[in-house]
Amino acid sequence: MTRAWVAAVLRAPSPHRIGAIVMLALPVLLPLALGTSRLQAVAVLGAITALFAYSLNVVFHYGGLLSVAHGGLWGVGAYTMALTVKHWDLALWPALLLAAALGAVVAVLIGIPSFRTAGIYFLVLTFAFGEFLRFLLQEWRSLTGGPNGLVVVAEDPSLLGFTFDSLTRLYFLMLAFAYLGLLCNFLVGRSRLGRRLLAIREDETLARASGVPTFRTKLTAFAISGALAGIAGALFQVHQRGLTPTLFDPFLVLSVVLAIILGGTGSLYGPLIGAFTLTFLPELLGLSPEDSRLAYGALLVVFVLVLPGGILVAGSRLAGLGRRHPPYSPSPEARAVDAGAPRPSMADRGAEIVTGERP
Amino acid sequence: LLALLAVACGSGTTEPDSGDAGGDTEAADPATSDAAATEGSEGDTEEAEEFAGQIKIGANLELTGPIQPLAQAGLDGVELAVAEINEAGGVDIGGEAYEFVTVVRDDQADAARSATNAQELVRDEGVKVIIGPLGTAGNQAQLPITSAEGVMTFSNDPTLDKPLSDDEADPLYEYAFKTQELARRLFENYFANLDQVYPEAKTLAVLASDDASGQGVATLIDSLLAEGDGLELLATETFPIDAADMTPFLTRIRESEADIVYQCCAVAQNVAIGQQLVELDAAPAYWAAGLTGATYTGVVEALGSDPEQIFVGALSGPDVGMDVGDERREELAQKITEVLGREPTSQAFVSAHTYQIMYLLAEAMEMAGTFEDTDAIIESLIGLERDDIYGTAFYTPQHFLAHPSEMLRIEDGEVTRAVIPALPVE
Repeated sequence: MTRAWVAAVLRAPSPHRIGAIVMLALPVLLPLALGTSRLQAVAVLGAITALFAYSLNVVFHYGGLLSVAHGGLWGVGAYTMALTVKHWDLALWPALLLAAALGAVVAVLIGIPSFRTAGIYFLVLTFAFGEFLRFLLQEWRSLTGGPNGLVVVAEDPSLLGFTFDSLTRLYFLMLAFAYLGLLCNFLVGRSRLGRRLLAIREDETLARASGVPTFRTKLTAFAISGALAGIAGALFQVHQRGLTPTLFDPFLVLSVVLAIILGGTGSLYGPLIGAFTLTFLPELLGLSPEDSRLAYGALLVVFVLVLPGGILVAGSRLAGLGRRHPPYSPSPEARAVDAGAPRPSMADRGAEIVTGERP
Repeated sequence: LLALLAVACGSGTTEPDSGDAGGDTEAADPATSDAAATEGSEGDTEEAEEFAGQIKIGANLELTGPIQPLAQAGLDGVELAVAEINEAGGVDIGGEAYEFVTVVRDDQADAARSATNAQELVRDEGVKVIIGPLGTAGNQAQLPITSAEGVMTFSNDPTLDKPLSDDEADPLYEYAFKTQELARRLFENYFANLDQVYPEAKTLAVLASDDASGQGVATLIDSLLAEGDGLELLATETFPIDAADMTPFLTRIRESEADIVYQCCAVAQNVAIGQQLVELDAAPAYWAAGLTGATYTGVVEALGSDPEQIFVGALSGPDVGMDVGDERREELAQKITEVLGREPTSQAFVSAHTYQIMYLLAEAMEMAGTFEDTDAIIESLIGLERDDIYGTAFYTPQHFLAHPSEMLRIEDGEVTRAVIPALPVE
């Protein structure tokens, strides 16, 4: 499948191929532009946020499901990392696996009751579960340290003798995981699971009637998404080291949703670009929390109403790379109807109405 | 993103500076202090020419958010002391005068931002001392970064209490200092204070915010009173720190019929909560963390009349914001206004702590003959006494500041004060 992805990138029309390569290369080149530790630390957070955005994108983009419980799932991953290192002195990689597994399990446990509902009820239920998880982190004091949180400083992560002992190195590790999230999204999009999810997103009743096992499909997607959220949380702990439950507010999810919309919901690179943009924006503009919230709200309105394709579509249009749809031109019949003529009947339009028993 | 990259390139031109005479630090010029506090702006100082170099002091404080008044007060104390020390010739290190400069960053009460600020202060600015963050989440996020680099930190984080009082301190806390007393010692003093200013109080109800500070204090009070302090704890209510309406919590507290309500730690809401307590007649007396004369005045203004309730302020420093006839307190308030060009905040007693700490630090650096070797500075700092605005204070080997505590009782605008000297250090 990885080959298929590479092949798809190479097969793409030239401007899009260039666009894809640029999208993938920009974050890799980012450290060259970051001269201070502060901005390097922000970039690390950007990469982790990108992975979290990809986690959410599995259910949000493909399945059309907005889960607010992901704030809690990200917390589960972070605390799993902190606790396994603290109590079992577990190395990064097995701890990451455990965080992913626990994220997936908790996601399934949340998904089972939540997928019995839809729309606003699903949103409310996942919000309740997200709050419950945060509450658990806050109140299970003997395990999590309660509101005081946990500070766990592990050894710098290493792989095959290479130690990620600087912010730049840590950034590349986190970026690799963000690309893993991107790859995961690509694979989901190309798989039967992705097609089923898209069918559910477009019309769940129709999908079910067509034989799509909707509940199982959504649950599988939620488990994958939960695993990625768990990994994102665990990586956040590796970087942040000090955890408090307030870091895992369900409303955090809304800013990540904004990142996805900002980057472009339909684009594979949207979450990546959106996450970096949203992480750097308050930093570069020096926005206060209140200003940030105001700016997020304004951006959400602008992008939903004016630029629904996000930064990438807006950028490619500006660069003249995007597909341009021909201007809307109504048919002569439609123009006549608009002018007040009676709508032609089905028979007038050539439809043959057959009555009688089914042969 | 390209545009962002370009901006990032621009901001990335500030080269990391770990030396003692970095050019891109803030001036201690009072005229620039406001901008510095909010934006962390930087500029050269003309006075730098008179000094052999600069000693950067980092401030990573919650200058926006729920504990802004505390953080701003902390910054006021730092900047006032810095201005005075520089005016008096700076810090004498090995016979040469060095200028203090503050590098201020606002963590916006956000733990992730606190860590980012710490990365910048430690690695880009090369500071060896950071004042703040005062709250738990920010401090916990900062400590792994500062302790690894041997950077001294000063915070009011209540979770510091345990490691600082342990026999075998965690290396994470080796360079961590508290800006005031251990909470347990402080509350032991407070209960003694309370017995002096409000002896009729026999029962207590606690109204605690749901953050680390509020919950930590609620747990501490519970355990202290369980040991038989004399007061009986009747109820504990937890409220979301950003909640504006305390009606459900105060109503339940009213049902407990406690003699006094203790609120912690939504200091920015002291006036609003005090007003609601009076309106609901939730208890005969209101005691709050950081409750000062300014709180009382605010409630009176909001109500349009004096409340019947007694207001009790538990302070680990002086109530700078209120005219109580103490010359030193009035002097500090006046200096903040004159030198920094801004009014003291409602929590200006915190200014007294950070003001005193900066003087202690300057003296410790002079004694150690260094501003970079924090181990040597700590060795000089421990036990160094300074008699200042609220009496004699000193850092103990456990890294907390031993100092007197005091309590105000405000009734019909009349103030009664009880001051208890620092508890002996074991």
